[in-house]
Amino acid sequence: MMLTLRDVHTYYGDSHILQGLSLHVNRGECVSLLGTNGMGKTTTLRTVMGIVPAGSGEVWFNGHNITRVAPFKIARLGLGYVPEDRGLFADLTVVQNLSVPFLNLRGEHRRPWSEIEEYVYSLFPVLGNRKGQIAGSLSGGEQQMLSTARALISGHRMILLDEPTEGLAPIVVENLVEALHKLKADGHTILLVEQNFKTAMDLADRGYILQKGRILHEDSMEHLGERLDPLPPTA
Amino acid sequence: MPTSHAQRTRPVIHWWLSVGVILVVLPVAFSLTTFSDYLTYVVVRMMILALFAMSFDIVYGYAGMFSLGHATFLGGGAYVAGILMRQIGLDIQDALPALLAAMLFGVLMGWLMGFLASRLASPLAVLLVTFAIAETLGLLVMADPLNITNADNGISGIPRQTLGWIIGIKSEVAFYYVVLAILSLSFFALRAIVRSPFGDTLLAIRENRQRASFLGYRVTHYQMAAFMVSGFFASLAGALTAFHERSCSPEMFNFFVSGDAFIYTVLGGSGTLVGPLIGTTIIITAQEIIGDLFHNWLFFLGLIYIGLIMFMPGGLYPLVRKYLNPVQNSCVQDTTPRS
Amino acid sequence: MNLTMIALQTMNGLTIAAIYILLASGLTIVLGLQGIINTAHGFFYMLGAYIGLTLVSYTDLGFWLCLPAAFLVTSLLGAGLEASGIRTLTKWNRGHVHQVVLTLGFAIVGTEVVKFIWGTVPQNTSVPALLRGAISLGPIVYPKYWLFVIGSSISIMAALWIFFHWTGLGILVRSIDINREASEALGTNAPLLTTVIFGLGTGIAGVAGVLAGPILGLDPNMGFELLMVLFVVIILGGLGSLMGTVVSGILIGLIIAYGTMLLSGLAAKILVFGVMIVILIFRPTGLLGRGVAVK
Repeated sequence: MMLTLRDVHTYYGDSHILQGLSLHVNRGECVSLLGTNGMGKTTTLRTVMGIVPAGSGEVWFNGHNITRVAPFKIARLGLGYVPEDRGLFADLTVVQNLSVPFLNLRGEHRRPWSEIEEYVYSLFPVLGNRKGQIAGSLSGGEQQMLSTARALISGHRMILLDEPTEGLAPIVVENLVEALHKLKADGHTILLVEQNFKTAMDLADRGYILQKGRILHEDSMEHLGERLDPLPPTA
Repeated sequence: MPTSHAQRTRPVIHWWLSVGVILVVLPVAFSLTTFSDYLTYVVVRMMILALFAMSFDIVYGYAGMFSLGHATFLGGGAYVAGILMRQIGLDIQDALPALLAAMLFGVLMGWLMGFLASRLASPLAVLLVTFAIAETLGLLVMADPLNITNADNGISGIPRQTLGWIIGIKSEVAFYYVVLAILSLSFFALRAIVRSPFGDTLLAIRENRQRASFLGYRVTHYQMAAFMVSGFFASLAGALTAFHERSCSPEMFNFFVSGDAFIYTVLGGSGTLVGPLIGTTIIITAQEIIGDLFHNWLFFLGLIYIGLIMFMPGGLYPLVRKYLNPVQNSCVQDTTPRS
Repeated sequence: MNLTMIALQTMNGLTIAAIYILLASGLTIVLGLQGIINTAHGFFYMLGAYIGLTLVSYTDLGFWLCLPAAFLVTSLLGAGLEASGIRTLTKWNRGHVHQVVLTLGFAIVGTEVVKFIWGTVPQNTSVPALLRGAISLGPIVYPKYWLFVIGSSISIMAALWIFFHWTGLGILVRSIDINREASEALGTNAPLLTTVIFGLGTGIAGVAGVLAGPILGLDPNMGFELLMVLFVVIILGGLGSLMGTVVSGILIGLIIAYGTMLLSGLAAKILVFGVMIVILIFRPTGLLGRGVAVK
């Protein structure tokens, strides 16, 4: 098992966000977290990443207990994170943005830069044409691709994606989903938070529905789709 | 929310009464010792600086802005008094006009500082700007462009005869009671201010500036008002210092003076008004004793800074209050500004 | 007053500016990265100067030895302060003001220790033999050592610029500066790098102290006094901007030099503070950079 959360409780000051959440993601699987806004999807990813440490419960990643471990140590275990706001370094160029996770690779995971570059640009050819451009000046879709590419370099085992298609034009979404499919084919493990059920259905093997910081349902995407039927399928 | 009056329990009133009685009889007790004048002098200093620290608490503890320029008011108030009494040949022998002028000066300077500070969102920028104002005023006093501040030498020989042409304040003991009265009046006035809706709004701004402004409060106006109130009382403390020492010097604008106000307030507990009183008492006592024994007060002051900020940022008063009012434990809130 | 005087004062202004810029750069890097003002910065500068004094009085080679020695001592001490105190306060979720007060307390204690070791009397250090004498520069004759100080400042600033723009470590530090959370999520050891940068800042302050010693003289309060001017430099530069610091450092250096010539040393200082207050009224973000209002 790649990622396991057991009875995790997370707090922001006085508010109790995750209230005993448990889930798991198998190696090579793409799992989607569903639920309306404010149910704790983003907090789940931030807790896994160690940005908001879990108050209680346990988080395991690839055989390591990462509960309350510093975010950079978690990242170095091979877990990548694409935050909802994309978290780009706006004043740095595309190459410099990509070099941040590269410079943090340690030991066996250290690969030559040329190899990483080739991989990234084959996945997102647009970035190859924007190497020297300042990240802040990229289009929304390009920014999302850069953020995803960056997370892939550090997250060679698994990536957490928070609303990757949010605010993107349909054509750009198509490109992005295509790239994510390639990742899946490469055997990457993905935990995906997605508002758009169609996209989630397309990518994910399995899904969880969150409600008030707990798992309401866990099922295959087809079955979850039936459950969600009364709700509009696309937001 | 500050504890309302009705909630206060009996032991607290007893406590207040005993503090009052002790302060009233203290000079009598001192007169039995051989160094009565020195002791009275120290306690008067303590009371004046406590007033200064309380005024700092309005800006720091209630409005949530860290001023590193409160020396502006202490030094400025003292110089206003010194200049009026001594430098411009008015030949006033009474202290009242000087105190009033100092308070006016305090309000005006408070307005200036508040105006600048409230324009800056970052607490660090506020710190730097207030600091720069104190520094500029100190340099101006030394440069003495108008020939009234007596440059590096400062002003000495400030007369202390009467207050309001009736009350004699010449003797150390008489001055003691006048300062005690002013401190008490100021304390109750400040307490009324912080318990008013104005005080509540300041606290709301301290907790979340943005939310307060969304609620329709004109944050900058409130912050300026806090500085003006603070400047009023701090400059009063400055003028009292001038009469107490019968002199004033450019060192009064030193940033250690501003830093002292912070330390007195934080040691006692900021955002409580009582805290600064406790803090000042403890630090001045320690300063007298340690300064006497080791001749190296600053070293210990630095250690106090580090120890306080690391291990007791909430100060002593919240602990004292817990002890006095165990019933109210649940109401005692953390009053440390987070800025 | 004639052209020679003006040229001389300009050079004096630039020499002072060279020292201000070195000091303010350390201050502003830390400010950008951690959002705190290291009020102990002046202390590290003073300590550097005294380390210089001690080493110079032994050998003539001392001066060259004490540049790295002062850097080492002050940067290790600074890194220690960051790792033991400031980082702990960050972990406890305390505000920046608390961290400022901590550095202030450290500076007060440290200054007393320096007074205890080296005494409170102002002292002077000598210039190394190689740099004694003067060079003629067109209309004016200027001390070699002062030119050396300007040159050192330019070299160190250039090195800093290269570090932040062309080295991997520099890019990592900038990524922390821009978005700490995102950088850490990509594996950057932000706590360690923050400590290193804090040490780099205080180390540069120590070097500036060694360089300034023979020009400005030494006394235990030199740090606190200079700190006030440095605050003005970094505010004008727009807190946290390296380029802004260079420009405002030169501006302040020249104001002080010309002000001293035309009025007096005291009046020059008042002018500096006055300029800052006026600029903040009309442009709260400082002259350049990201500014006071946002950080």
